[in-house]
This record gives sequence, C-alpha cells and structure tokens, in this order.
Amino acid sequence: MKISHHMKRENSGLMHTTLEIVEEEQRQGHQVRVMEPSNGVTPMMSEFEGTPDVHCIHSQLSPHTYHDNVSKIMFMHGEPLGSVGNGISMRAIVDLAPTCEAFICMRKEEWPIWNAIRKTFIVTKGIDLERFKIQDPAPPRMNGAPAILYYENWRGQRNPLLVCLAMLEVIKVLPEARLHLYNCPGGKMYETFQKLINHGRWYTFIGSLKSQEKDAVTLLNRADIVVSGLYPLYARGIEAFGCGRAFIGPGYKEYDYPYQCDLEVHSIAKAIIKCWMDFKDDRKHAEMYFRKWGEKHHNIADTVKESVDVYRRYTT
Amino acid sequence: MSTAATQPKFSSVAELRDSIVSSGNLDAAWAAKMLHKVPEMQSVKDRAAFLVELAKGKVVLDIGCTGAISKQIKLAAKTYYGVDKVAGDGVEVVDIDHRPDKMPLHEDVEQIICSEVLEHLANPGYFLLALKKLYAGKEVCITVPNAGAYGVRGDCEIVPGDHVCWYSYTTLCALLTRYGLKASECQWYNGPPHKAEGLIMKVTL
Repeated sequence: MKISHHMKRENSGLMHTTLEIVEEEQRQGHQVRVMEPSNGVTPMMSEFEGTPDVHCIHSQLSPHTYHDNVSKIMFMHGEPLGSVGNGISMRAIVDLAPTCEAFICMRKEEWPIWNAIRKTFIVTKGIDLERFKIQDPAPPRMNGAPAILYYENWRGQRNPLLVCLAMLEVIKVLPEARLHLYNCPGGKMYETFQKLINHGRWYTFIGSLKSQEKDAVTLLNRADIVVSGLYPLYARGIEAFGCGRAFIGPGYKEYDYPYQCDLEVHSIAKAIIKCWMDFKDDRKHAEMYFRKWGEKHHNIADTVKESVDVYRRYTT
Repeated sequence: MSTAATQPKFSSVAELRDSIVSSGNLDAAWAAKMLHKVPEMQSVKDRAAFLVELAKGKVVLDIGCTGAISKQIKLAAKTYYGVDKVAGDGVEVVDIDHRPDKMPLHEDVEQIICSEVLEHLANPGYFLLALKKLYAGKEVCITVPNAGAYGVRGDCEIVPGDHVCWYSYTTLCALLTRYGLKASECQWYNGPPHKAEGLIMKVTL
C-alpha cells in the first residue's frame, strides 16, 4: 500500500510512535510518506510519487488533503480526558472526525469514548523491538540497587512527584535503591524538583536530575526498573520491555502483568519492591522475562499488521 | 492535494527522527546556528568564599578591587596587588576600560582575579588582550553576572545601572575565543544551571 502519515514535526512520544509505525510499514513492504500538516505540499520524507491509498492522521491534517477522495484514518495517541482538558486536542479531533473513515486506538479502556465519536478499531500498542533491545555488551549501570529510571516527557501533571514519594517507602526496605530522573525540561519544573530534593533531603535516594538523553536505548539498558507516574495511560514507558527492563506505572494494567500498581504512593512502592525482590539475584532472567513480555504483547509488527487490515477495509 | 509536489526534505525515517530529536520542531539550519550546548557544570554556592579559597596563600592581582569581597581576598592572599579605576587604600588606579595597557606588571603574581569586571567594560576584548600580553601563562579567574538571571519587576529591569552588557556561557566563551583564550574550568555561582546569578571561568592567559 501507499501510506501517507501526517504528523507535526515535534519531539514527542507521538512522533516516536508514528515513526516506528512508518519504519515497520516499510519493513512489511509498504511505501510510506510523512507529511507536516502545516505544509501539505512538501513531504518530510516520501517513497512514492502521486496519490496515496490512505492518509493516516496522527496530529493534524493539511487542508489541501481534506477533500481529495482518499480514505483517512485517525490514530488516537492521546488520552481522551486529557484531550478535552488541554482545550485543543478534542476539538481538533471532532472537527476532523467527519473527514475520517475510522479511528484507531491502542488501549481498550479508551475504545468506548473514541467509538462514540467515530467507528474505532483497537490495535496492539507496539514498540520497535528491533531498536529497543538488550545491549550486548551492556553499558555501565546507573548506581543503585535497584537503579530506577524515570524518563517520561515531563509537562504539567506529568511529573515524577508520586514516584519520588514512593521512593521514601522503597528505601526503608531497599536502602541502596536510587531514582534517576531524566528528561527534566529545566526552568520552573527543574527549580521545583531541586527545591523538593533539597528540602526533603531526597538527595539520599535521587541519583540524578537530568535533561533529555538522546540515546533512550542505552539509557534504558543502564537501569533495572523503569517507572512512570502516568495515569490512566502508559505512553512510551513500555520501551523498557524491549530492553529487558521492568516497567512499573499506574496506567499500565494490561493482561496479567504481575507488577501492576495504582495511582498511589504505597502501591507504586510495593510494586517496585516486589519486582526487585523477584529478580535481584538473577538479572539475566529478568532481562529475558521482560523482553519476552514485550515480544508477546507489544510488538510493533502486530500494530502495523492490524492497522493495515483497518486501512484495507476502507481502500478496496 | 495528495500529490507530493516537491522533493522530500529527508531521505529516510532515521534521518527525519534524528533531525527532530536534535532540534525539535525547529528549522535545522536555524538550530545549527542558534542552539549551543552548555556542558553540565557544578554550581558554587558562595562566590566570595570560592574566591577567598582561591587566593589563600598566593600572590594575587585583584582587578576591580574596591568591593567587599576584595577585603577578604586581601586578608587571605600572601601578597596582594589591587587595581581599580577608583582610588582606594593600596589601590593602583588604572582606567582599565580605555587604557588597559597601563595596568601594572607584577612578576611574582600567581593568581589573577577579575571578578564582576567585564560587564562594566565597553572594550572587554582590549582589556583581555592587554592582560594576556602582560601576564602570559598566568591563570585568571573571571566571574560575571549570568544573562539567565535577568529579571524584571513591574516595568523595571533588575540590573546595576553601570553595567553595559550581560554574558551567558556561550557569549563569554565567544569573547574569550575571539581573543585567543579558552576557559579551562567553568562553574555557575549562586543558583541552578542557566538561572544562576553568575558564571565563573578560569582561563590561562
């Protein structure tokens, strides 16, 4: 198929997920194009000339494309309540809904909401297991036993406050545990956390407070456990599975995952402690366990196969 | 319009991703010109204590020496030479902005301190050139207020009225480079990275 993806040129989880889907479509033999919605003429990258078979909308769509008689499928990357809350996303989705044949979402809990707006299909939330993998030789570990990594994009309520508070309980049981905070955007967020760390003497367990790390794969490979405070979604934290690392976040309630937790400090702490107790003596086993979990439940190849099946419903 | 009318900007997804990760949603050419990496640097809590420690037991040349910190530096130093444009007790008076070549040469100087001076000078480059000529091979410790600390209160800017510029890490490095100098050690003082009150750079002349 000739598939045209429409995505804003912004460094975000949405961008990474979209480009991983695009690369997997290439691997599965499709021809792809990536367009910036504000520029409906010059593609950011393209493997084909002329009209595509389907447009996949990830953030917005260029008005040039609204009425071109090509099927349109919108990927729902955001979380519905957040989309209303930010005052922009849900309005844009509703504006575009009539031009779309269907929506695609990746979490079953969201399906009733998106399906109330437009016919919605659920596909696997996958990660690129070719890219996110266990590195051999392993890079030097971050300090801590366990070394716990927070690396979600911080913004507004998306921040590691609850994880820091959970650490107060974790270190009572695991005094060597260290939390490494990455992707801190600087500015007021940095100042706030620096104040919290100094005031609460959290520097006894905060191993790092750092900005963005370009090489996420190596970063993940340097940790034992990856944590998130996101709820009710889990975004890109599941990349940890690809690298053979445990992922703990209140938004992750998939399948029968044994280290689920609630959006509550004690529950997050309990999950971290349980996970480390289970695997501290056999890290190799841990790597294999979590890698296999990723292969079974979060393979981007499945995401693309299922998505292409949806495209085909509307293009033949 | 569904037809891609012009050539794509990137030849592969990996290239597109790299470009976005390194410059976000910014134009790559703009980012290359305007974005300059600042290394991770420690922050010194107390500039005065830092300078006093630096001066301890050494022969010190203190340029801009009429402030309170200079009194402490003088007490800590083995031998102390002070230079300023304003007269004072034991101060050698030099118009360092317009005639930096008139600065005195003291052969026995081990450490030069130039704290909160550059932001007062209209000709900082000429000053650095003169200093380099007189004290080649000696270490100078430069401190300046940090541009990231700029603030406003109501309709007022918070800045001493006799300052003529703000320096950031990048602009101070650019000034040094332009006059053939390079910082060997850099730190923030009083505050977190980027927002700190000032910058400290050690430079070998």
